[in-house]
Amino acid sequence: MMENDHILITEDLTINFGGLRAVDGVDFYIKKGEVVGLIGPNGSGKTTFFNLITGIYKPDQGRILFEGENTIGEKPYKITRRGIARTFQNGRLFADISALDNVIIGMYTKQKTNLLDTIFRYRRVKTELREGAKRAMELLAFFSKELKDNCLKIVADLPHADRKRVEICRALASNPKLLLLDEPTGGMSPEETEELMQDIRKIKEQNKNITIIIIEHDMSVIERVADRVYVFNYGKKIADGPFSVISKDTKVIEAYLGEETEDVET
Amino acid sequence: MFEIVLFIAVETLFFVFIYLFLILEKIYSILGILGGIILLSILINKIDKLNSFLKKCFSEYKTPAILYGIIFIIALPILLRNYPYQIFILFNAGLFALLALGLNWQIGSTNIVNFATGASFATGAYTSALLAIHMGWSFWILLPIGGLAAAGIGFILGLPCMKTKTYYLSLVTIAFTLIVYLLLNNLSWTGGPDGIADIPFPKIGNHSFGSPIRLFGWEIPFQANFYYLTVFLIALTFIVDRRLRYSRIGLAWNAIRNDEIAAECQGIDVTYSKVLSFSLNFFFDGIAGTLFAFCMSHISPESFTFNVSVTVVTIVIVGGMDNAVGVLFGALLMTLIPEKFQVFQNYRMLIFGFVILIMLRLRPKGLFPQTVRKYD
Repeated sequence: MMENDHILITEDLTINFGGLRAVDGVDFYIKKGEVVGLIGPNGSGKTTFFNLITGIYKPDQGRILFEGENTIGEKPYKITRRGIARTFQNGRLFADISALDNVIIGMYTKQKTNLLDTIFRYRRVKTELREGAKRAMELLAFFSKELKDNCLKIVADLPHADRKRVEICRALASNPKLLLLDEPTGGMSPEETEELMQDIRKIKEQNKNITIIIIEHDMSVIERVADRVYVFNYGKKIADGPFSVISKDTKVIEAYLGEETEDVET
Repeated sequence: MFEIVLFIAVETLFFVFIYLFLILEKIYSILGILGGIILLSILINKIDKLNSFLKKCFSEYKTPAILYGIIFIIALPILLRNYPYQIFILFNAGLFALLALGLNWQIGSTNIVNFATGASFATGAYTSALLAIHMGWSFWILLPIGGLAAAGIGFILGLPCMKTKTYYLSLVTIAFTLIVYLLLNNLSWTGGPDGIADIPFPKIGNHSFGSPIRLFGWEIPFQANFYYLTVFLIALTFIVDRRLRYSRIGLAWNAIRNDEIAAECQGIDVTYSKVLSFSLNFFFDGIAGTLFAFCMSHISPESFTFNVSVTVVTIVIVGGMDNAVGVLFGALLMTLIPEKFQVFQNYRMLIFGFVILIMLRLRPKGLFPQTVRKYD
């Protein structure tokens, strides 16, 4: 199933936590430029799947191919340097520095200066940082004008929705080939969710080549954003295909409605 | 016009306080001055108008303020020309400022609570002392070599430290300081408990650092040589600090301080960044150690105990995490005050403990908290 336009492929991806098989033999692929939704009840292994792709966990078996190259065993920072950026479910921003600094740190892989430049040829560092700051401001302004005006505020002082936006900016700052969004609308009001969805679409319009995998609980978001959907349950992939097909799949309906697991919202 | 006059008056007052504090001997007069400083700072804090006025002045007249400060720093040994010991105390404060500025990259920027300052300080001092005595190398070559030797040790210590985090990392560094202290005490080639004596004074041209400076008919004690050199090195470290802070290295350190996993997901090699902060910190400690060895001309293991590490950590916590100016103030406070309260020498660690407790309770980010980076 190796094909040239498949930017990411996983085969038989499995990881165990003690006796629990968190991700269980998942075959997955995504084409360049595609937006794929990842849905499933809580605890079905979606975030663990992200952690496997980004190298935070090492799988017990299976393969991960990014642009045709095996990434298993690589440290997360190396995988990021290949062009994978992500956001986190509960938000993992650098809380005690400004929003602008956060986005500039997102450009780390694109920046070139080293220790010697910093101490002896500071001008290079200065131009690099200025350009970075300029681009970071553009990114923040892309999401909201207000966010740009507040860019020198400490992240911990920003409202929840803005923090989520800053995190997406930070991920976008590295110009990733593959963007992993882990519940970007979590904890947002319906209006904010709507806004963010528009923003994600805008990102897609601006950069046709970017590939996005998005974990989301809000089905209306998935329906409108995702080209294809994967459904996880108990670590297994139980269905995949366009949303219109998936939403009629009996296994999927069973996973969401037929069992009690849905009450375990956190 | 009125503003600048008042502003200069405030700064002058501050300098007069420092000067008086240095030369007074009687404990009551010292207490009086300390009380005065505390009262003044409370007053400034309480009266909002005065506070905002001073802040405004400081931002508006930043350059003259700094210039005035520099003139004072240069003039201080001339004012103190009859008090050689006081100049030595200032030199000592400068040394601790150097150590603390380096440690700030660890505790302040990266959140690595490193207690190995004693060890790195010793590495620099012993390396350059031994090379000066046995090989006859000059101080000016040994200054960077002492730094490099310490940086090497920092690199070697840094690698195993990366396997540990938070408290465990601190424990490793404490153990390292103790090991170095014991080694220095028990090895024969380091002179054992007697240490190394007769380290020659550095020279510039014909001027030996062991002889007084003669200027306009004044005779400034020889300690001033080292004082000026330390001030110069602190200025250099300040520049390095600022450049590091405004670079991807400093940003990466701040990222690691907040969240290592998220930092790694931005493409930051966490291990490399941490080892780099270890090595840089140790490099500057090594330079400070060399300076110390050549100023004292005699070193022994007693100068490199765990107490040194604790003092420097206290300076960073009191002064301000990730703020070089704060660290400088912290160094002045934590070296000058204990020096003046020799009576309580035995309770020094106790007092430091109290100070840390109070600071963490009232101002957990230090006297001068970190500032937000601006990019224009």
